Amino acid sequence: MKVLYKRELYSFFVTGTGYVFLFVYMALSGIFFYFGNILTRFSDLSGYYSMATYIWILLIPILTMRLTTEDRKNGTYKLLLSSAISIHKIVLAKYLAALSVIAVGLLLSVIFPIIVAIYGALYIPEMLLAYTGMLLYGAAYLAFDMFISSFAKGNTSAFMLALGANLLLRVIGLASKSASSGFIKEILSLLDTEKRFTPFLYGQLSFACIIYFLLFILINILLTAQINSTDGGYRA
Amino acid sequence: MSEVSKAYGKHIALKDVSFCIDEFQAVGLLGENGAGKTTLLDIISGCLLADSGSVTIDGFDIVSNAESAKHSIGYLPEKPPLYTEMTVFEYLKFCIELKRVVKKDRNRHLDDLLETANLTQVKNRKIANLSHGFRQRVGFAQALCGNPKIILLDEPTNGLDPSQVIEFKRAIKTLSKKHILILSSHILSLIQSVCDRVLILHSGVLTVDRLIKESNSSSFFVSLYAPQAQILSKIRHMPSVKRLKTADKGNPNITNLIIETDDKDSLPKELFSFSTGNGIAILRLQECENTLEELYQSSIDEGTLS
Repeated sequence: MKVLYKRELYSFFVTGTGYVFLFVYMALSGIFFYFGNILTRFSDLSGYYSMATYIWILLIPILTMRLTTEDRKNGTYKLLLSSAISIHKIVLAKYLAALSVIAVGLLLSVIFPIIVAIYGALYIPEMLLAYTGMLLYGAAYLAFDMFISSFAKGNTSAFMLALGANLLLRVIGLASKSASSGFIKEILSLLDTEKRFTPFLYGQLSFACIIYFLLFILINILLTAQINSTDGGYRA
Repeated sequence: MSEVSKAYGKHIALKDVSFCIDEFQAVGLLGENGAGKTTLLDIISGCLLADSGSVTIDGFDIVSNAESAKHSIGYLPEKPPLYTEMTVFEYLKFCIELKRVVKKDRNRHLDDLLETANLTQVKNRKIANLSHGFRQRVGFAQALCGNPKIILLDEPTNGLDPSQVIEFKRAIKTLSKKHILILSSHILSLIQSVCDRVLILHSGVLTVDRLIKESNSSSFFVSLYAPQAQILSKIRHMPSVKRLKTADKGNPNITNLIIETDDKDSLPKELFSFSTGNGIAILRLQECENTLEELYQSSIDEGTLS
């Protein structure tokens, strides 16, 4: 699994996808930070942290669009499936490689809180919790987008499908807040990722939310493995 | 492989296909487009699940013991599975690690692969910049990673120039001494020249499974007016009979046989002396013109008629 993880990570950077992702992420984060904190001379980063969730929704499909479709296009899925690695390990290696790119993006973006710390006051535990939330939120959308992208045949369609699904998930989250009926509200609320991210923004360590995100990730990884198994989406 | 079937929706790709390869040999897989050759190789390699039946590789079931079974398999699909952004060296190194070759043997194995596939001079070039022939060689080297017992090759000579095909044939002949090779191809002459055995698929059904005729071997079709049970063991024990197969069971009083022999002069004499000695009429005795092309054509014709 380690060898596949290394290859996938290498592929993100040798094909430029990783650099594009990191550049756009840093550019958008920088813009939000500039208008939200530098221009207003405001040291509270909660606005910047919450905008990161929108950035993930827009950018994570860039990472997932090639994770499975590229193998199908190049025929390399046959190399992977005929090797002595289970489909779960294949999916997990790809997922962890993409998650590493997200983690690199988050590490780079630490520059913004550092700027705040230099010129103002930064409450570090709050920042660490916000970054934990951002990582979990990104990891959840990554797993979800990887699953959704598995239905697509090409990179572009995988990107569009994942982006559409992300927006739909966001709309479902909003709808759950405005739904009146108890049962429908409960059902919609299960898919409200925003609700589970909010406590981290306010400096709360919610184990329930951490478990929610971990389960969300696990379910999507298992579904991705199922759809890409020998009799699923990887079929020629 | 035992009674393997696979369907895509209503289309039956394979139907009750069974065969066994228990010695090092090169097996040619023939069939028209859509006959099920690639599906068969995909199922053997574990890239595809069969709807029913089982595949056992070196004692391990490809589904329940997938990881152990796949250790014995090297697969070159019709489209070589290449990561074109990698160099040849990086790609083969990755494949060797993927096949879990012991760490201390990796460098030596990598050198061997580069040499076997004649890739040493391009090892530092990106696969994306290589010609089709070289890409095919890289795919071929990939199939040899980990020195697997079974090597599956799907249309390996597609797009190769004549000198590359000759080179490839030499490699196959060498490999078939130490590996089981299953080679799918449309090129009958390729199968005839490098394979020991041929499997012919027609519309997903295995219609022919036989050894390719050795230079001194012949086949005879013989029809005798006697029940099978009465004569079969006696004929089997004739000195010149190498192998025999019953042809059909239409009339219980008539036995049709295809007999393989290495001594085409003695077999008719032995058959005539057997028939006169036992009072059995020979209804027909004919030497089969069994070139691979004729065998293939007759199997396709029979399949189409049925």
